[in-house]
Amino acid sequence: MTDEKSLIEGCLKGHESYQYELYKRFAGRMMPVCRRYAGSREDAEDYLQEAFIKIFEKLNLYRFQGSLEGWIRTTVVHVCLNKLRSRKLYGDISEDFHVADTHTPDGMQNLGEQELLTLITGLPVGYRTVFNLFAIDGFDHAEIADMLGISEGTSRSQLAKARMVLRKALAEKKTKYSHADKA
Amino acid sequence: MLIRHNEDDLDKVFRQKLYNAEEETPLHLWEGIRQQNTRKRKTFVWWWVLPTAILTMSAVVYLLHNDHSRFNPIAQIATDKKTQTTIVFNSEKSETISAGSTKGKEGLKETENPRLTERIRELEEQPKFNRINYSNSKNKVPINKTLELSNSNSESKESYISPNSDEIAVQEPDLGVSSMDSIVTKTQTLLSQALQESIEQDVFSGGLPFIGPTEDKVPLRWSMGLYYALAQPMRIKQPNAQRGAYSQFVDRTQLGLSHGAGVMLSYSLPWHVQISAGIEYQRFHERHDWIDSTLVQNKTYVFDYDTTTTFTGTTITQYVIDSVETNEWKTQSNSRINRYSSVNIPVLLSWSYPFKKYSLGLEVGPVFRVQSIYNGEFVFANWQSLPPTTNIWTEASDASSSVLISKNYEVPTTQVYRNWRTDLHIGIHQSYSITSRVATSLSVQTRIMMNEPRTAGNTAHRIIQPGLRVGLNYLIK
Repeated sequence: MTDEKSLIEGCLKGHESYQYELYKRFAGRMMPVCRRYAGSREDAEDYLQEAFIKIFEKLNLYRFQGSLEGWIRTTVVHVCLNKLRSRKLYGDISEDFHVADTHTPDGMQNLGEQELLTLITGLPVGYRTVFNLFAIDGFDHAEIADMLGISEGTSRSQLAKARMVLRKALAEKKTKYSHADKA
Repeated sequence: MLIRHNEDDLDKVFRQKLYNAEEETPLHLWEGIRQQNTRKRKTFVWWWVLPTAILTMSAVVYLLHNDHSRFNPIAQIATDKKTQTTIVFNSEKSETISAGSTKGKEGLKETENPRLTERIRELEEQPKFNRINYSNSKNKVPINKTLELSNSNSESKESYISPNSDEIAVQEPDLGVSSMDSIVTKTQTLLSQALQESIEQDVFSGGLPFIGPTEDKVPLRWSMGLYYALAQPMRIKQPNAQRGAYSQFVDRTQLGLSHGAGVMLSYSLPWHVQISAGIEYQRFHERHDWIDSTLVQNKTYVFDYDTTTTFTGTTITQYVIDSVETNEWKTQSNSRINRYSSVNIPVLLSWSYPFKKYSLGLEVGPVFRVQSIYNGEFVFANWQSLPPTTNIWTEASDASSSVLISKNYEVPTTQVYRNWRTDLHIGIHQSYSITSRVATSLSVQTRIMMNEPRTAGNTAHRIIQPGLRVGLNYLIK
């Protein structure tokens, strides 16, 4: 397997084999990222394609500080946000009401990746974007506010609402499963 | 991965499950990225290649068309080997040089007129201080230097031209006697150039493809050529090609051979341009390997059950509460041998420039394939994996591809099509004159088949045929 430095250098020289190697190494891990932000699988594929084109274009900006995967992940997230912004999908984010967090239902650990992904993609775009950025990708509210052009307060309220909707959905899911078990 | 203190339970679960999640990516994604990258690289290259090519071509055209013979009436007129050149010094003495075509530069020095030879030698031996006299003297002796070129008489003659004559071709005022040596030297140079050009123009130096001389001053001429061409057909995938909403295909390999022979008639126009038209017979075959990838969409449903008990008994109602889509790509390898035979009408516009006996040029034009027969023969077609398609939810799914894959794949037999198509011909040609009427030619050419004959739903390729062509050309008149 090619080491990271040679891989990057090969990509910068425009060698297709190196670019393919980089794609193979990271595309599988970046696909779920795109799926989390995009509403559908088709959109996610589109975002991923766009993200890798951008990665090959901007790879010269990678300064070998921090992991390559981290840099690629950040690029992918930014591409997803740009795509959502261009489609005006999270233009409706607003600070409207305060939501009190409720208790997280038990048994969540048993849910699979696909089920959690389905729950996230079922969220409204604004909730989904903030939840992804904060809860999974680890950005703080100041960064999110900056990235999305909203206030920190809005970011917090969107996150709270996202959590509330998810908890509700999980609680319903648990009830349904328990019905099915009884049946 | 960033870990926060006092992290929300919900966030924690989602982060643990999804941060490092991995899943397969479809094949066509990389294909799309690769194409985009290639397109960007090509665009970048063209930004450099195009201006460079234009600059180079402009420089070549400028240099070629700024040949001094165009501005030098002596050299321009002296294109006939029967030319007689008369040099008149001081309107009193006339010396004639017989510029026979069999003589080169050496022949010029040894003129047939002993008086001129002697005079040249005498002038060459003249002391250099005369030049000082020339530059300082106010009493310069005017000299009219005239080169008269005549085609009418092959014999030497003396002519006396008055200073007012319109036939004065080169008139340099205030030339002193002392500059006689430079006049003679210049005259010798001009004559030698004129003679060289007259020799060159009698050679069938024009270029291929099929064509005769192209000098502007030469009357327009017809020529004819026979040629044989050998090429390697190659397929190029057209951008954004798709075979269907849920289908993509990836790279392919191909092997093939194309050969054709024809006859072409050409007509020389000014400015080294020639127009040619002909007829040719061409056959080619290729092996075409490709892989189809088809997206198979599967939907898995999560059911819930309601139990209702009435006096008639217990009813269990089943309903869908959730669905999970899984997409799989199934690949199919194909290989097919295609054979084409066609009668073509090439119409080419070419530009060539002669360098003594050689010429080099470019050619471009459409090739009309009047008749084309296509035989497509599948060597094999093999599904790599066939997914199970029988499940109780098929009807609920809109994935039409699941119906497609459940069928046995039928291998088509040989098909024959007859078409009218247009190709684009681009080439660089080079020729060599064997005699004044016969020339051989060698060309590097490419034909781009703008529309491939219809195959089984495959319209996403363009075939190019880079190759070589050799020809024998004859100047008719």
